[in-house]
Amino acid sequence: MNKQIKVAIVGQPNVGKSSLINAMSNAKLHVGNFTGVTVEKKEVFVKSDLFDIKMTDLPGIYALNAYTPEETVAKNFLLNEQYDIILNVVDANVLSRNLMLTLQLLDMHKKMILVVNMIDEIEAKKGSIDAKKLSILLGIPVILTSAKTSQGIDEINKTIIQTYRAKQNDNKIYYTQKVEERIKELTKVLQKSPHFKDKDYARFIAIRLIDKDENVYKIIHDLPIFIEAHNVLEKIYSSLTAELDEDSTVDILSNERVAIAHNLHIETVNIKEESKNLNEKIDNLLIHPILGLPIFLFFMWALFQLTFVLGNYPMNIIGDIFTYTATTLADILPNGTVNSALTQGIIPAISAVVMFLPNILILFFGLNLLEQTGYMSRAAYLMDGFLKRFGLQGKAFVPLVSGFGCTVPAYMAARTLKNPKDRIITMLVLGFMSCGARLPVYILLIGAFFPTHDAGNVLFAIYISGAILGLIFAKILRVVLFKGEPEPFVMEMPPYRLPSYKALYMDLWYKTKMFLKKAGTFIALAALGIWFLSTYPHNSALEKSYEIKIQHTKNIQIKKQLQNELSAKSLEESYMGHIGKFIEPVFKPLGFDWRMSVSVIAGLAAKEVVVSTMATLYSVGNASNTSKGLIQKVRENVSFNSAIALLIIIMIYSPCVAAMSTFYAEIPQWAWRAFYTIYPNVVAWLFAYGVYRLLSAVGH
Amino acid sequence: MKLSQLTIGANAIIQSVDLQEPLKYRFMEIGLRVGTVVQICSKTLTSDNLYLKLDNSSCISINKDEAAHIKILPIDQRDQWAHYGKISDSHDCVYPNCIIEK
Repeated sequence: MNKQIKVAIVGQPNVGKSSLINAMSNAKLHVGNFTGVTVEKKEVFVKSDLFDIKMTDLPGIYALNAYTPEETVAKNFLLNEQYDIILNVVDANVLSRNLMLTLQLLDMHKKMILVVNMIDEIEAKKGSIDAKKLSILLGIPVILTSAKTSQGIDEINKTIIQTYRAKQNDNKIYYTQKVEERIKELTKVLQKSPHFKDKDYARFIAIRLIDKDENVYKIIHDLPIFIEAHNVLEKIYSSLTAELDEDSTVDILSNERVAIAHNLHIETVNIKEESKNLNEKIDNLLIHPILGLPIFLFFMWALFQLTFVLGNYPMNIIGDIFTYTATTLADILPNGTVNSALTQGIIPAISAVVMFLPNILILFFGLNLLEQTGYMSRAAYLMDGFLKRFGLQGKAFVPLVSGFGCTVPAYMAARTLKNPKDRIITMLVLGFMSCGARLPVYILLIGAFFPTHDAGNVLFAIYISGAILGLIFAKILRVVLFKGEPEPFVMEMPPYRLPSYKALYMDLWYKTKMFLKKAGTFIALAALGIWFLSTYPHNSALEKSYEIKIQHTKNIQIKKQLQNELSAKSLEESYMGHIGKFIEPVFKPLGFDWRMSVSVIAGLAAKEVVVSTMATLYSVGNASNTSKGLIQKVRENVSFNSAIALLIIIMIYSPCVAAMSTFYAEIPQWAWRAFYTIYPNVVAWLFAYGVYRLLSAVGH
Repeated sequence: MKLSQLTIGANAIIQSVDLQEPLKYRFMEIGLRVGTVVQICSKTLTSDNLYLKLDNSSCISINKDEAAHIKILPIDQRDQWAHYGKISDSHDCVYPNCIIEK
């Protein structure tokens, strides 16, 4: 077995760490052009002849003084985990600012490599960066790369191995004399403790303490050296601030790092200042004070139009293929359990889910474009003032929009919100943003009850209604339970970038694979379970009495009617029928029959299961319509008012088990977990009931 | 003058950032610090948010309320380049001297 080299990939947000790992390996890490795409550490393995390289992609961190929960993940890893090399990725476009973190990392005195990414963008501006000089000045290897064009990527692996084999370089970065004197003073005190015998480690801890790092302060707090170190530290705080006329030692160290970074930039970067560029011209339109918001709403409307209109064609083709397969198999296979399980259980269920894959992919494609071009941050900027009026922070826009894709990563994206109150409110209303898995139910019901030319608008209205409801609830939560103002909005606006077609393709391919895998495993198994529960136990007496009646009837119409009656009665007497009848009273006021009620409950496992359950139950319950598409079956069995009530239930009620587990993992307080589990379901039922009664009252 | 009072397109140098910790340090880390040349590129309709360009390179967005705590010295375009020139000519800057071992 090869020896393993553990590499920590560290850098400020949006410098292309994940893109770099994808370029170095076959990994398919999610990438985007905005701050906070990666919010948890991810491990990727790269094999070479002699070594296995384990790379840990850490969330972006501006400085070692972590500010948000996702930055704390990166900081905790750097301070507490075992690794051999730090691979510090910086953005060539903002090198000076990125070097601020580099200088803090150099204080750690670990083996380190600097990767200057996005060098292609500097070269496109006819600029250059002197990697050799930067390497000499910093005392660590420097590689110029572009994850987009794969420039310099091969060099990274080689440099990792060389650095691993080489001995640790001496420190080359020092602060000004007054600061260095204090660092030395504190280092000496710390070295008295057996925990800080290593001089370099003691120096790092001393710097972090002068930098008022709370996490490091907590480390020494419980050690015997604390009293002596604390006294020296207090003296350093007061003497340094007085001598250098600053408010805090944090300002002093920060200013020193700025000076070093600035000089490094001057020494190594050669770039001409640009006049008004394309980026600004696009910004002039997209973030226009008046046109900005309507343009954003137009983009979202266009996305939902495309999702329905464009997705409709492949959807119908896939649906027809499955219907044909089911009908053919029903004819070919001998009557019995296998025939029934396949043609009335598994195939309709998988068909009901897979046929919506094109729509889901179009939606994800649009959201991916939003993420990769850099428009996401602009939209957050435009929405901040609006969101603030509803008690949300502008940064909450990112998890809220991500929620249109999948609620699980959206909950995790809420880690970018520093204030715990902002974070809980955002997570509590995230369920109102309809995820991709709910799309099949919407398209099914819209397809059954609305004309095709209105379908895209109805879909857009559903998503917007969900978002508006979410905002109203955020306001209520802020006023009633989470008093106070949201955290101030501060967000980096990355330059616009053309989306990476490879990243787009990889992301969509990965989602397709996962979706089909889910359909072929979890949903097929769920469908088999639903089919079993809705087929058994057999009532032989009932079947026999109907068979006699059917045999004695010559009229084909009556024969069909009797067959349908038998199927419906068998279904009602099945296990599922009993379960459905038990649940039915809860949903009866919404006009749901027991089959719809069961589908809604089954949807708690995964939202796609709603359509697969409906497909199975309406197939088992109707012997003569195997050849009819699901949309047709729904049209025949569900009233318009109940369909609208079902839409509202699906839009608001609890998300899937996976999303709920993520919420429980992110929010440790039991009170919020209980609240989150109950309130969306109560709200969903009340809204659905209100709309159902209103529609009935106006005579629909 | 405060940053919140700066008009769109105008440039200024930040003189002080009078905000509470840790927000003050987040601003510093993201580039809003003493000596930075700042330009207001755009404001939202309600003027709640400002879209800023820092040192003619990176862009960020902040609230107007926080911008009201940032003291600035307005400069015209010509002065702005002079400011850059001064730094690059002398390898000096507005911060304390630093040591880089060459």
